[in-house]
Amino acid sequence: MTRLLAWMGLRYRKSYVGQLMELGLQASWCAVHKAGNRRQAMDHLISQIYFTGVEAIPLVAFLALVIGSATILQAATVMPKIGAGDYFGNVMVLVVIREVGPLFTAFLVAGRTGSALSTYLGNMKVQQEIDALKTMGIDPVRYLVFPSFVATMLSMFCLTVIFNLVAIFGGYLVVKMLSLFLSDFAEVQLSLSLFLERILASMGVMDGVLGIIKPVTFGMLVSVIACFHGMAVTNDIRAVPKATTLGVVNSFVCITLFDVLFAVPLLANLRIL
Amino acid sequence: MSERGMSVIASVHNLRFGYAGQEPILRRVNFHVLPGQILVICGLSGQGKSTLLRLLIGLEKPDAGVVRLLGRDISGLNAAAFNDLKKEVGFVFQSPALISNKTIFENVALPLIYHNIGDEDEIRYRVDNALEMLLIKDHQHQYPANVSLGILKRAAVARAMIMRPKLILMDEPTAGLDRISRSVLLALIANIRRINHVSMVLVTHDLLAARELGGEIGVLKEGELLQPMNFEQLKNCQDSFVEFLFRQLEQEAAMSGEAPA
Repeated sequence: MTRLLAWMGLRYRKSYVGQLMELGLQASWCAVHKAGNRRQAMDHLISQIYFTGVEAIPLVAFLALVIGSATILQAATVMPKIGAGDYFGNVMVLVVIREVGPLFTAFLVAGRTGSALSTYLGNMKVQQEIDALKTMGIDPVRYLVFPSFVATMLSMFCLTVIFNLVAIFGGYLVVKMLSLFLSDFAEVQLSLSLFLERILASMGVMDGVLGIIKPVTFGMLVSVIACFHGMAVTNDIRAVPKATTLGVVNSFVCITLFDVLFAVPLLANLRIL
Repeated sequence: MSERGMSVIASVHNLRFGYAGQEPILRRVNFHVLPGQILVICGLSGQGKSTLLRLLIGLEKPDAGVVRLLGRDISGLNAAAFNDLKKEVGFVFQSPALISNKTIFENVALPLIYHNIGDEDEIRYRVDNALEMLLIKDHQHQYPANVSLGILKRAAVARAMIMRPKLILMDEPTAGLDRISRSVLLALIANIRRINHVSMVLVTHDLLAARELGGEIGVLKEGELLQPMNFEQLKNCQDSFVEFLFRQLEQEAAMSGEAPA
């Protein structure tokens, strides 16, 4: 029995999921077990947050504005026609806050930061820079993966909040402006107070809890998958683009899978529409 | 753990290694390095010279045999203890392997900063000294992509010696350099060894470099290391492989118009 468990443990450790989990645990361990230079680690963390979070704000805001406007426009024009006007707030919460906000932000971070991380680490591996760190007694997980891990989680959370706010308020403003200038949208009659009232009334505790857990988990997935594929590159430059592609695609798949898993507690609470 | 009354800095006993799915590249390698000694390992390409250095620093795990650094069997060390031990060992890669987004100064200072050795002033003092010793202080603010290979190699040597190690491992330090840069680098390496009294294991296919650095030369042949000896002894060695290496050397010298060894 012990042998069987040991064999299963070894098989699991060698599996893709097992290796990802191992890297995730190693990076988490770095937060608990202090070693290395704190100031150096903080510098890396800040530069990673700047790249992953701050530099991505314009892109996230633009995407949020477009998606927010389209959702509000559809909800405000189509739903009353099919007798579902009262569910306007629910649709906004369901579409923007619960699903599209965290999901699109995660896809964007995976495509931007994830690919950059895989390429960066892959190139470092090819040029033996990671081996050089090891020979100096520098743990590459602590030095390279840990700052990216923390920065991606923090940035993902902040970017999701920004996405949600811009999608709701920016989207509302865009629709209001459209209704002023274009006759096709003149029928959209929605006051800001009613708009916010309906959205707030549709939000529950679970939305708040998942609003934190979801982006943080997605950030963790993106950084671990990207770092794993970057560090798994062999000493072959042709492996770098392959690792980058694989990292981004696998991040997309894992994010979608976890998004479905996160829907379960909401469905269990019967908070669908 | 002593040889002629001196403690051994590094030793390798019956080392065997093969890459996955391939024949063993190293079959039975034995050698030891004494304090201040320089051991040059020569051999043809693909004989496992670089692999031997990677095994010494723990980048690869041997299939069999024992590697001891500063008296400690590295296979019995946990990651933290091995990282501590690596502070005593410098490593120079064939590709200089400097961190590309850091300047030369930052690269050389990296191990000191990471291991919290000294305050800011001491780090600056030590790095400045190392850069001056290797004649690259003028390049300290440049990034690796903007300097020549010769400068990069010297920066890699500076990084390897910055922790004041007891042993420096060097993989083909002169590979890819022109004749002048090569001579300068060899002179600087000899200087570092003399001043710091550091032991060195140097891997090269360049027998002349081995002669210029002095010390003992071990030839890697069919996965085994021939008994290390000095250049003159090696020249008179009756081994067919060693004779072949010297013939190659003479041919290269004839082609480049140099006097033969």
